[in-house]
Amino acid sequence: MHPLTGEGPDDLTVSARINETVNVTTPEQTLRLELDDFRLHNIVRETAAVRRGNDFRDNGPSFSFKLRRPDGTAREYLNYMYPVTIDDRQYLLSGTRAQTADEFRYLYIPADESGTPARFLALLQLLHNDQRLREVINGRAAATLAQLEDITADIGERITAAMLQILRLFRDGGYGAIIDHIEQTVPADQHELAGQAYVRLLHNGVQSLYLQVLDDAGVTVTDGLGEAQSRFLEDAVEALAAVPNYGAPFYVALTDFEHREASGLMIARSPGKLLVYPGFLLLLAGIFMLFYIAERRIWFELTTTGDGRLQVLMAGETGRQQQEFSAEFEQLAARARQLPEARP
Amino acid sequence: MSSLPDILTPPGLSAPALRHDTGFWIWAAVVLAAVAYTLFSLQPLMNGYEIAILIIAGGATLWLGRYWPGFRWLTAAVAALALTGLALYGESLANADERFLLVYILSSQSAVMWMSALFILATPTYFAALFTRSAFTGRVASALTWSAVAMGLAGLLVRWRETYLLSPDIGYIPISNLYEVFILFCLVTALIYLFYERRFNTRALGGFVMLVISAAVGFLLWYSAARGAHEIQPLVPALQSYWMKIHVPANFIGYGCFSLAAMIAIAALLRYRAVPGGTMARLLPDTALLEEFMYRVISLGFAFFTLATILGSLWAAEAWGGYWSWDPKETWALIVWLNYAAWLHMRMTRGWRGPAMAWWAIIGLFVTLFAFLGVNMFLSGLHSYGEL
Ligand code: HEM
Repeated sequence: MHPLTGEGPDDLTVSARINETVNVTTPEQTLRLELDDFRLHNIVRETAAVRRGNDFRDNGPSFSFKLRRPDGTAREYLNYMYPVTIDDRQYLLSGTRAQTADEFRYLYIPADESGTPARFLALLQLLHNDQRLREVINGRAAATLAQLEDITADIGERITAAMLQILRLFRDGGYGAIIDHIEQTVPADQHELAGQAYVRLLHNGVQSLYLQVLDDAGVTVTDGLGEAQSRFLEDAVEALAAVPNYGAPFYVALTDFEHREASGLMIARSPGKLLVYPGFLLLLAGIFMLFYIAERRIWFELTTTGDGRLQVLMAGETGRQQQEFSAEFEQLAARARQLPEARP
Repeated sequence: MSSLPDILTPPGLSAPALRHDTGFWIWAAVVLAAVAYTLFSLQPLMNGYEIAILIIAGGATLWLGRYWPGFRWLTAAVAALALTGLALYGESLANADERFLLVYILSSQSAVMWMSALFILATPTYFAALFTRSAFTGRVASALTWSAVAMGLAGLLVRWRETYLLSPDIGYIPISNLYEVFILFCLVTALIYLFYERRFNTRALGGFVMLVISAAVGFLLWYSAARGAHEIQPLVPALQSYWMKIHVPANFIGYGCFSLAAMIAIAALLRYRAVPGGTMARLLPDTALLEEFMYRVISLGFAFFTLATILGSLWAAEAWGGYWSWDPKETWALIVWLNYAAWLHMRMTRGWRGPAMAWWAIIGLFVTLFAFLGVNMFLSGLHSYGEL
């Protein structure tokens, strides 16, 4: 379990089974984590991503759980164990939804070289640690700025201050918070300009943080970010923007599982079996016979008329299959009419 | 005078005497050969249940084909389509994108699309036949429906193979998720309708029946477009059971019949309102036929629903150790069953006829629909999801 806010359940490891619940205490509240399901395979068809078409691919194990707040409401989550490759980039997917009727909306956490969310989480931690955040921005970002010409120390300071503010807004409310801020503080005709400037500041800020994270991890960066690294940065910004809407203060990763196919052993004794099974059979046979062996009755009344001729009166009755019976009855009657006249 | 019809041939199910029915014999020989071939070539791989299912299925096919020539053509068409599909696939699923016939016609997804298009086309065609009273248009509508059934059935069979091509341990019978089961619903409803279309010798009701099938097709299309439901996913172990292979189709014969009945009921309600001698009265069959039609499909549905419930409880006994545990699904199945039992009783013992019975059949469909979809969506969610 990895906190997505500054404080929270420190990289906590729990082991639980499907259908078990775990209480997770965060500074604000205690959440109930209810493990719902586990899937060993997630077979999907590769479509638009790869033009070859119907290639099937296994995205590996996933598990789903609900986080229930003390007031009883819950959000549902669906997390994949291993990174999923999309457009040649690797993401750890975590879907979330507030209602079972909704579709999952996914948080795409960019995976680092070893396929873990560690680097992204480190970036997130750094963003949430106000003191270090300030240090890094004042150190790295300011250093970058200082290299630029015609930026005086005074302007540089104002820029780093703005950067810090934007980073905090972004951390707590994603792009939405920045837009709100612009709308409240900047005249309408300059919204677009301000937006572009803010986004640039934001990117530069996150980039500084990212460089720091790389540094901490012992990755040396000379000559700017490599291609993979800048794509990671791009993805990280998008993921950071989505975190405030993720609805959970932590990310749950699956590190290990033991998959038991059989859920248990149950012994049931059914002494009535000898009676029940033939009973089923009788019931079925009875119902089908009832409907399909139609009971039909036909009466013939033979009378002799005054002039000595035989008169036949026919009548028929049935409950089921009346359409067919009337046709059948007509046929019989027609045949009766053709009989050679009977004599007494 | 010849004897009365024998007991195995219900009235109306007439067929030429066996001696003269050459077409039947040729077809029956092929079916028997196919059953025998399967039995001998796959014997080592089959267990007792499978052998029994094969023999019963073969027998049922022969029996249906004996009285229903259209069914023979259907089996021939489906076998040809499905076998072609399998041959084109060979051992590789990738062929679905390479072989022309698979891409456009025979891969399960394409076949289901064909089925959908044909069913949707059949609907206005039946209505056109009804209003223009054109016998030819009527035959076209029937042909469209037959073709839709053939494509859908072939599609399911091909899909069965696809699940195994995907990976042998994933393979399953394609009546296991909502997407596949809706295809089954369309097929079963259409087939039962086609059967009675011939028995009652009227195509006037086709449009009404196709409405419910088109609605199901609409759901199917939405479900696969919006949710990617056509993608094959491995089954959870609880669904991997022999009982399921017969429980689900039996249930769907029931559902299909009940929805058919509701559609006939709509036609019947129109007919009751019709002015004597007016257009409606001339176009639609008389009420006695409509009532009989409704009764027949409800009784068929009831019988199969009984079978399905019994199979379900046998399955439950095997999987969970008890025949019946009163979970919402079971309770609602019982409600559906008792509802139609009551309908049948009112007709048989009270002699009820008329609009009330038609309305009841329509309401019955909603009860059934709730048991089928609603319970999954609302009720079982109640105790497992809470306020989610
Ligand atoms: C109080 C209990 C019941 C009584 C007195 C009763 C009575 C009857 C009667 C008199 C008939 C008509 C038979 C005929 O005319 O051919 C009948 C038919 C039938 N009963 Fe019942 N019944 C009862 C309970 C049930 C139950 C619980 C079921 C199943 C859920 C059931 C299923 C049927 C069926 C399927 C038919 C055939 C209806 C038809 O042919 O349309 N009955 N019953």
